[in-house]
Amino acid sequence: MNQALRRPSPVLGIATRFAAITPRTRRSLLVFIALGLAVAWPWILPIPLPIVGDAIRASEYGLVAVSLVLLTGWVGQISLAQASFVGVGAFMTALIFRKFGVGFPYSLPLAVASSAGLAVLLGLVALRVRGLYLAVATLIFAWMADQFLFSATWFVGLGGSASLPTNVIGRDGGFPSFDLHDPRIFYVVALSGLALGIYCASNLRDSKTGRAFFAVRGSEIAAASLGMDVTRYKLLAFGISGAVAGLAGHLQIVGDGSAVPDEFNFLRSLFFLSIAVVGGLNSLPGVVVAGALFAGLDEVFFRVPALNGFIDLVSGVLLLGVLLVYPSGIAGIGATARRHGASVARLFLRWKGRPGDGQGEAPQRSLTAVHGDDAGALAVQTSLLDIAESPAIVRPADRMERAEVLTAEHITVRFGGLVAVDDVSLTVREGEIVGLIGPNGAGKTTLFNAISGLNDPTSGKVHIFGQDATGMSVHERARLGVGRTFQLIQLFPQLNVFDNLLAATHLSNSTGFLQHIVVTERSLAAERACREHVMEIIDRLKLGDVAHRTVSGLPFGVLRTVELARALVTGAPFVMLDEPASGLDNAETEKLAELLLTLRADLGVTLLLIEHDVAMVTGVTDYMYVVNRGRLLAEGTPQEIQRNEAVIAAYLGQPSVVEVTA
Amino acid sequence: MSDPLLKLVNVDAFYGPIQAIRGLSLEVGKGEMVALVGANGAGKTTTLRTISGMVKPANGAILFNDEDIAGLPPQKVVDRGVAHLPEGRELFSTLTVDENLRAGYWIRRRDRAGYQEQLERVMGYFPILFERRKQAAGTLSGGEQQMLGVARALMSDPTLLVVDELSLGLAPMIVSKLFDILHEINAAGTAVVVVEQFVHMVLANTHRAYVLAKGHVALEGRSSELLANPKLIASYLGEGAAAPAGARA
Repeated sequence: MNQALRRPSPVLGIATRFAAITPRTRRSLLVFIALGLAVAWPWILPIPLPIVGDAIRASEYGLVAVSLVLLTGWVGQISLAQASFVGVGAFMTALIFRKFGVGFPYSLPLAVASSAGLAVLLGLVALRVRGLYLAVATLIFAWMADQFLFSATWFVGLGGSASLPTNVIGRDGGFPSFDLHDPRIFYVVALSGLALGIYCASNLRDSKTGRAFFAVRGSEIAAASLGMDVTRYKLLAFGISGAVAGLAGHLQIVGDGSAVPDEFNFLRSLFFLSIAVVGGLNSLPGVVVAGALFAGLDEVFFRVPALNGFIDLVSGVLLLGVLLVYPSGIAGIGATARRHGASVARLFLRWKGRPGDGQGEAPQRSLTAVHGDDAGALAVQTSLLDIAESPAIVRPADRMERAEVLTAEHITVRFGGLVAVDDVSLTVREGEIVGLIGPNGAGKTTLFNAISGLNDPTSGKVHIFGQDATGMSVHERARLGVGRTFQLIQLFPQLNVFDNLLAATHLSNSTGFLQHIVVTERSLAAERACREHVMEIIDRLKLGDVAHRTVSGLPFGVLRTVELARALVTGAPFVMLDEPASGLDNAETEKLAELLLTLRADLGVTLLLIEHDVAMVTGVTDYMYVVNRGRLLAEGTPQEIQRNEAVIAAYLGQPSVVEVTA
Repeated sequence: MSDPLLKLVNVDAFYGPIQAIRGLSLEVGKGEMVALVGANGAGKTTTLRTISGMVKPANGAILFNDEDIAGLPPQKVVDRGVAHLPEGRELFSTLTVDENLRAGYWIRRRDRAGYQEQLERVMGYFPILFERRKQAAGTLSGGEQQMLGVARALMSDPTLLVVDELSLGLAPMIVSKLFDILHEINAAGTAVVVVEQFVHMVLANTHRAYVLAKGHVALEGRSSELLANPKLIASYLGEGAAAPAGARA
């Protein structure tokens, strides 16, 4: 195994790394020591037991906050029902004990699964509504859970509260024996739960699944165009988030010995959301710190009578303060500190004459290390780079001999009474660059969307690589081998350039989310191969300098190139470009035109462009289609199009022609 | 050309992350009627928005009556005498015609006595609006709405009127009627800048024109001469484009 590869789990496999003391092993060692201290302090320090109780609460808060980071921070699905999932985890634990006499830890899987199931149910709602409406829908869901489920005696127990006897694991007095009555023991249990949650979540974050989450949040259209099933990933996120929240509920009732419904109403959900926001909705460490902070505040308000009754006010002010000063929460404070720390570390390393161990360089190092590894034994297709034979420039004479990549036949799209596209047919053949032009409002974009699957044509057929794609969703068409870029850049803002491209390996990476949670050898190997493939495209498009920059703040021309690179990374042999030159200056447009020709020559990729910059299109395409007022106005070689009287009239708005076509 | 009323010097401006105007320079004389044409995305609308203060230029100067108005907020630019009729008209569709016109008078609201006079002057161009003055703007026909847009802009008594996409969604006959009214307004001393998709129509109705491409001026000249210039077609369809022999240019 190479050592340099950025593995999601720093703790595992330490033994193999002791061989050489690299900065990385040192970091692992530090984490190990920190974990040891986190476990041992209740025994080492002379502290009162209530403080241990607070630490338990902090772990539970942290766990719920982690579930919110996953769902709201990463996938962008706001949830005001998180306490309901916690409640189901708690009450199910008690119910299982009442019915079957099974207690901790054996009731854990069923309790967690119940929460996950309920969360998926809510996820089904989330497929329909977004943003504020989703927030309200989850609120209603929380209210229903509170009113009907948590007030049902069959579920909660008689008297409106559930109780669970605290048990001893193992033989009492024998070995091993853990008496959960001792809060210190239970603290270790709760801490392990939190650690498990963070471990799984951070593994997911750095995997194919995590990138799909960020992609769904960043742009659902772009995610689908990379072959991601948006529906599936939303439901998956709800399920995992519900499971983590359910784990917190399970731990809570095991630790407390009882639970009442008031602990899981929607106000509690708001409280949990506050923890996540104060911590920083995107940051696992941030929300864990926030969880500890809120648990500490609980204790302070309990201990200091003068503050009694002010808890809401104080936590409200705290929340507002954090939001105003650090919109990204405690994690934002940390990031600033890390930036300063990193620059100090860089200075130090330069002084010592060694290259930095910045995170940014990790993938390059991993790639040099990966050669000679068993990367070939993977289910990763690098189809695009394998077809390196360069087809000759297409001449119209041999046009008909080439295989059809895309055929759109008699496409008509109606919006109500308006006919946006009227009986348009076009064909794109293997190795061609085809242009689709037309004046403003001609129906180009509507036609483009009908081909890519964003809207369904009212009538007509779309065939992609000979398969009937009519009626297929965007991500299904992506599987047929269609990539695309967008007129308005649709990169994923939470990912850097490299990870944006890595997200495009979605279809070539066949590993599933369970493998990503536990990090199997297979998923690691697939990840390595995907990274290698991305590096090839990065080299080809000369994006190395910006690979580890975040997307925001990059020049517009670079963003366009990154989007093109992302479409190429998918390995799709057919790429549709939506106004690739818009917003570029003359020099950039020329460079883009050259790049398109090079890509076709080197990769054999077939291209369809819609473009307003007709000059650019005539320079690179083999064949052009012109639409105007929803109809096909002309088709032919660029030279034919440039001299077509009807085309010229359409562009200059010649009144006589307007009357004829109107 | 008469004295320049408006002068853009090397203006850069952005539309979101996109640089829409790159080192654009142009001039509009007092009492002149100027067309801005060019392919979609050429920067026409951003140019107008930069003139009226809705987009702050990143670089360059915008001289209006020899004062640099670059970076002034829109309401101050209106106060200097520039009225902007935006693309799609942006009328207050639930307000009546009268109320829309009153809103157009906002910048001169302290001059209560002058309102009636200004209203009558503007209504003089658009008798049909007088008939509809109690009607909600949203219930007018497309042509009447565009008239109301122009009328509202005129209520501030501008020395420069900039109009974005005069013909948007309108039948050619209505557009030519609107151009007639713009000529009247222009004859009364107001300089006019029109952005237009229908190149032939706008070139037939203006003194001079600028053809924009990729955010800068690709071609400029007297409107009547531009129509015959083969470079006009090339700026839309690329080098090598030409009207076929015998075709009406």
